[in-house]
Amino acid sequence: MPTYLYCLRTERADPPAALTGVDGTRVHAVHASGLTAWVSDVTDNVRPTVDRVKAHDTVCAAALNEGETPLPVRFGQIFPDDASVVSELAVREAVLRPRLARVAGCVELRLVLPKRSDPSSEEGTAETITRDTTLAGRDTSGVADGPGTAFLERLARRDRAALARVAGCEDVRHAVCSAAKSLVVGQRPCESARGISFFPVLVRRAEVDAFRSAVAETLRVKGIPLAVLGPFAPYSFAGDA
Amino acid sequence: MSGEVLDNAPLELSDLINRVLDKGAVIAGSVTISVGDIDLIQLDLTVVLTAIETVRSAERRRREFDGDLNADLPVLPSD
Repeated sequence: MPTYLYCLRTERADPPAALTGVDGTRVHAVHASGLTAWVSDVTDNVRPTVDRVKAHDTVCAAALNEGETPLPVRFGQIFPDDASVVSELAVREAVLRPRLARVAGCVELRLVLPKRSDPSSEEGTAETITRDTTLAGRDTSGVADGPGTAFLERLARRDRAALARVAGCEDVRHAVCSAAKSLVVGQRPCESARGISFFPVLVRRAEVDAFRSAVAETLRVKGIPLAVLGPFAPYSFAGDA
Repeated sequence: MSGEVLDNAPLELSDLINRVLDKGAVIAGSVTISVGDIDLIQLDLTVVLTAIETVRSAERRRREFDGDLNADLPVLPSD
């Protein structure tokens, strides 16, 4: 039966007996090369659904609550069986151990900037559009825009809005991480999706409250609306540095 | 916290999906596309390839299910 992988640890810790993962399957531990993987047996086809994504995160969150910080694995990694997990971990041990060390004792927090209420910020305004109405010497100003032109202009407006959001988010990231410099173990650049901008930070577990307080004070002074989500298993810091 | 200004339920779901689908360590999933003996492209991530319009349609359908966030609806379609 295929084996679904959730997260890795260095402790030989077994998951709680009642812990279930994707599709309600029981989570168990596989030990290899001094690493412990939390896995469960699944069917062949594990498509990403909201329920399954939640189940994956529940297992990683349980691992985070059980002891040391786990290295969370991306959704959807399936191996033919437990023995394949063991062999893959043996092959990748030299890469995985430094990553486990990087996140040891830390959790991820996500700082999220809300979508701006001004609808023009999403699509841009007519004034921001500059275009050359003369093409190849022909004055086309009297010609109505075709659907292709309108489509490209919509794309351009969207790109400009996304760039503006990321630039604004980067300003906030700089302000927050400067104010809480001693509390930030790691950070990643801002990302933007569907009007929401966010950036992850890696914080020591014992300093989560101190970080939240420092952020709240910075936001109060600067008047920035921001949500701090977490703590989470350090997904954003589990990949390449 | 200033997070009160946000509608946190959909925000957290959106963040969860982004985090779990797009982040994390990748252990398996290495694909090398070769022609002859020459490696052209290597994909070492678990990716889902689909048409943008298909994703948008799925998102629209998902929004219709906003009242039931546990719906067993694909986050990304496989076709």
